[in-house]
Amino acid sequence: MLDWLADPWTSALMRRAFFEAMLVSGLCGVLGCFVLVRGLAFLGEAIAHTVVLGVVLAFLGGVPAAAGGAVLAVVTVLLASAIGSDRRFSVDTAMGVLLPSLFGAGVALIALSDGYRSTLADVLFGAILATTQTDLALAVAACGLTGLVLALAGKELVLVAFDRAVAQAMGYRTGLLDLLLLGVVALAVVVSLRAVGNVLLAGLLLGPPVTARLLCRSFWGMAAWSAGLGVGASVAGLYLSWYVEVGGGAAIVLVVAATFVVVAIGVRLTGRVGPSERRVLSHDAYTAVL
Amino acid sequence: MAYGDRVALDEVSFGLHGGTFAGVLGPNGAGKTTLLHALLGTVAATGTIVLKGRTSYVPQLTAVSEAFPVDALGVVLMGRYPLLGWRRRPGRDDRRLAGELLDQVGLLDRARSPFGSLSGGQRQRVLVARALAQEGDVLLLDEPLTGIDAPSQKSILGVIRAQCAAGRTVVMTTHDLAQAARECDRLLLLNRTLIADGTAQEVLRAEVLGRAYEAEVLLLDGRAALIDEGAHHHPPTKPGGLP
Repeated sequence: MLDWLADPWTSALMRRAFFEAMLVSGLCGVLGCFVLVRGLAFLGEAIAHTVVLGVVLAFLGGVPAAAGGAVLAVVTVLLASAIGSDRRFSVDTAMGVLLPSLFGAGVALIALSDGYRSTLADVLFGAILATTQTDLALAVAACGLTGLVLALAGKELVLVAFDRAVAQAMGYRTGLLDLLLLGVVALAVVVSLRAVGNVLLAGLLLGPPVTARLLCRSFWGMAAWSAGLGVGASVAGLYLSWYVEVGGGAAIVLVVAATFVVVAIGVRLTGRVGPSERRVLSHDAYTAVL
Repeated sequence: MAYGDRVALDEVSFGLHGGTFAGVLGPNGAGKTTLLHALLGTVAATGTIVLKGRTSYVPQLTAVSEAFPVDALGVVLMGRYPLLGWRRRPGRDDRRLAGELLDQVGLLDRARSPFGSLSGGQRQRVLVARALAQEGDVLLLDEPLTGIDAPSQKSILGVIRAQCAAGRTVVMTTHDLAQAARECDRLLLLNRTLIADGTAQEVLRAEVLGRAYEAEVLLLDGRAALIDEGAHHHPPTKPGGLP
């Protein structure tokens, strides 16, 4: 049994993969809670796709992929909020337009540029085993920065999510707080992209928070559970990928989805679902997980 | 005060003494909520607004999410945030105060209940307790009594009276003329501008109401009745969470 547990850790590749997966899933677990309570599930999914264009552009321009991805994440958010500020459209509509256009542009660019073709699969499904020391350092930095932001303004970000009008009445600059939150979410998305790829990223960003929401009644309790579930799923998923030989990213997200299904059924069977819990989860969130 | 090129309120001028309970009346779209936002400083207003002390605000119940993972005590504690500043979390004193305020609105036993599991009236009482936790000098409430049960209305009116007795100024928007006449010291009647300002006897006269409500006022035996009673919640805002 001990050998069985220790075996994957003998590989340096796997060790780095474990650390990377735990870092990004913990990060996504916490930030995904904000994405979920703000009703921005679709935004998370949209960013995960549109950053591909940034990554490809960065590759072509010879700058770090993370920088290109971050720029596109910010561009997506700004465009969405510009389109959404028109009374005739919701932000969801804006995302629905932006996701396919920008992602399509990214895929088209990949097709046109010879050198990039080989790593398209990595962009879509992640390459957790290809994690480098630089990736790990980036993930640690992203976690540190997010921790700092939450330590400074965590309760204010929760207040804005709960009751925007009152936050404004209290004198908070809600626009700046939004930018701060979207900034760290974009960072988390870009950093996680290498590990799980954009197709599976939404599962990592929303799966653990949705599951945690079923178990918790307070925001920070939910965030803690969500981070724990994410880290647990990434460890379990990597064991799965080691012994069953499926892709690491896919295995992690499968464990996330399985956990959600088990918890959802368990909560329903034990009758722990109150009227407020039943209303919690948007259809978007369910779709993203499944 | 204007939204874009649409002027929502024009030529409004009044003063309120400390300890006054003022009711803001007027038909839908008259600018009642806008007046509160102007006092809060969250919409741009031309002219001068002088407020003695800090404001606390109770938004319309429909503007607050029911699905958020927070309990009643947690909501009240949010009222302490501006006093705590960045980084600091509510401490034991804040919790004790929040508990006392929940007791004042009769919900101490529901402190640990999820906000979304409370009834509309109970949620409104929690929001009032949160506003009190801010310890402002001017309390602004947007339709706090609309669509909630009688015990909750009574509880909220009791809290408002206690605040006035402590010298604080309270401004409440409402659609219920009869209740406003009974409860408020002073009535402000709006319809894009200040139509009337005074006591219930001065404001609630047929010819004055006619100017604010136009065709919606019905005269019966020399007494005015409003045709547009009923639900007056503002329509929900657009879906999606971005500003």
